Amino acid sequence: MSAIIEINGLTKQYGDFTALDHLELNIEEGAVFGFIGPNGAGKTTTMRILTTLLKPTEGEARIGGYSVSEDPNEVRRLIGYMPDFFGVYDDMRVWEYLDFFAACYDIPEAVRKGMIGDLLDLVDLGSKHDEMVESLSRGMKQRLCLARTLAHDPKVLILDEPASGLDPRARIEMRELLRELQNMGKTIFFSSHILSEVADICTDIGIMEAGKLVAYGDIEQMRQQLQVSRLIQVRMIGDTVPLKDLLMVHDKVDSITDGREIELTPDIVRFDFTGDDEELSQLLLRLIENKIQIISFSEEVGDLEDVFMQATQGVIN
Amino acid sequence: MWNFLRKVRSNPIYYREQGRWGEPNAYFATLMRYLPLILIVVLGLSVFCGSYQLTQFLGIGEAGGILFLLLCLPNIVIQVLTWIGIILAPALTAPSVVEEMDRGSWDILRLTPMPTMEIIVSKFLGSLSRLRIWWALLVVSVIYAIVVGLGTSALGAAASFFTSSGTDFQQTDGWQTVGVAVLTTTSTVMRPWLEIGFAGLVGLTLSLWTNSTRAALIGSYATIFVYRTIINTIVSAITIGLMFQFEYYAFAVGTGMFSLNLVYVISGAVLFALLRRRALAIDRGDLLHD
Repeated sequence: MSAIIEINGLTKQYGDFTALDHLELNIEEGAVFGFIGPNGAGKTTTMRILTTLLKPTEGEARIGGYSVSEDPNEVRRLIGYMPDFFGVYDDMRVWEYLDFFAACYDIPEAVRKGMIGDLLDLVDLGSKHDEMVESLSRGMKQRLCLARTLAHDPKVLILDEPASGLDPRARIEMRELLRELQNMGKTIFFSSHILSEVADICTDIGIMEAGKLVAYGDIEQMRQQLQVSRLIQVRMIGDTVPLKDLLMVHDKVDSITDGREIELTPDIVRFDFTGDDEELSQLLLRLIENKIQIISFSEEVGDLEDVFMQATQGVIN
Repeated sequence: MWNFLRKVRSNPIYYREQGRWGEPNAYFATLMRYLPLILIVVLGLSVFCGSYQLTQFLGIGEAGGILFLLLCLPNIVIQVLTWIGIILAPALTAPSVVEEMDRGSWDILRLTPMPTMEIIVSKFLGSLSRLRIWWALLVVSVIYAIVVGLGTSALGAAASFFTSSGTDFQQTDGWQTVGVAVLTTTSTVMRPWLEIGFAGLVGLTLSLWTNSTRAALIGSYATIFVYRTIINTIVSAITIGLMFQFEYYAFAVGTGMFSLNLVYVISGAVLFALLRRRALAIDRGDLLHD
């Protein structure tokens, strides 16, 4: 697959303050890219540049091959943008809101009626067709705003904190909606500070801090990039001492813990492993050769929070 | 230019400002609830000023005052309509952009395929078209222009007569009389339109430069009040100066009216140029609205 979003050396300065510092990023078509980082990390600045709303000081960004600085109109046709506060018109009815923006994108009146029904069904607001926007809940307004971004059928969706301020149920609904949009072939670029949200639905992740991209890739790649240790759990029959003795002499093994110490059963041993898959496989083979009676040998997958904490240093721009 | 205006006339934002999709302007809706009160105050002031001052000035009695009031009726109606326009136009245009910024929908509008200038002009014309005074203003302006035109011609003719009788009035020929009549008439017709348009333009400009609707509204009314007072004083002074200089009343009045209109045209052009510059900067992504 080819990159639909290409960012090369993107920099944004406000006087002496560098909001974005030589950002390099490529996002493939159909990807769901989670852009995470603390407030002031440069996420919104990046999104505003990608949406042509802000001019970069240096560097270039392209969407679908079009430069955001030189061909803003072409870029605008390709993208749908949802800002962090969604910008709905409380004085309109739900259908009027979509009708107005569809008209702004030159969609003929005859097409609009059917399209509005489809969009409302997609975001599960079909029953709210004639309601006033101001009567909708925050989650519903968020989904309505997302429906608006889809009105001109864009290839790329740029969503700034789409789950921000939503209750757990609305958050789950939003996540399901993003999955559905991914299945429709949309490329989704969204920012979030809710790490579990990102881990659940993203194909790729970028971590920003103080205007710089500190980690980028899928979670597995990032863990390798950041050399986050892997937590391995072994369950066995018999005395665990021979196992611990063997592990202690291995140079990639660290922090060996007995099951009793961590309120698990005594037949369990846990340890941190800093090697790759090949080395882990060799270790398992060695344990079996040494007649350790293994029942299970598994890796406890570290969550995104480990990666995030490892990648960032708490620097605030 | 014509194509641009045609595009604006078919722009959804133009129709949104007119109220096709929802009620875009809560301030205007509130102000409209007080319209009868505004109408009574403005009408009262216009009648009081028109009748009282002129009866005093001309030294005519009450019956003469009423007759004069009837003759001046088109002028009073124009004054009322102009004041209504001046009061309501900023209420329509000042919130138009700043409200979008407050609500977070300005960026969404900017991402539609329309250039910022087209959005701004659509908002301006769309919102001003909600003023239901334009047709009435056109009809009364034409009637008033005829009255003024005839009056000026008569004054011009009188001036010629007095000159030939040996008074100090300057010599005027027929063409000069016609010229002054045309000048005064066109200036009279144009003035309410220019004043209301200018008031709307001030509102729109501040809407793009301020970050709160209240600031845009207060700023607009303050600017219009100060500007009107200063400009009217200067132009009145020029008019009186001309009257003494040329001793030809109609010429002085015509020139005064024309000058006043010219000031509004130039001021409007300057504001429009500023708006255009701002719109281009927004299109280039040079401005950050957060």
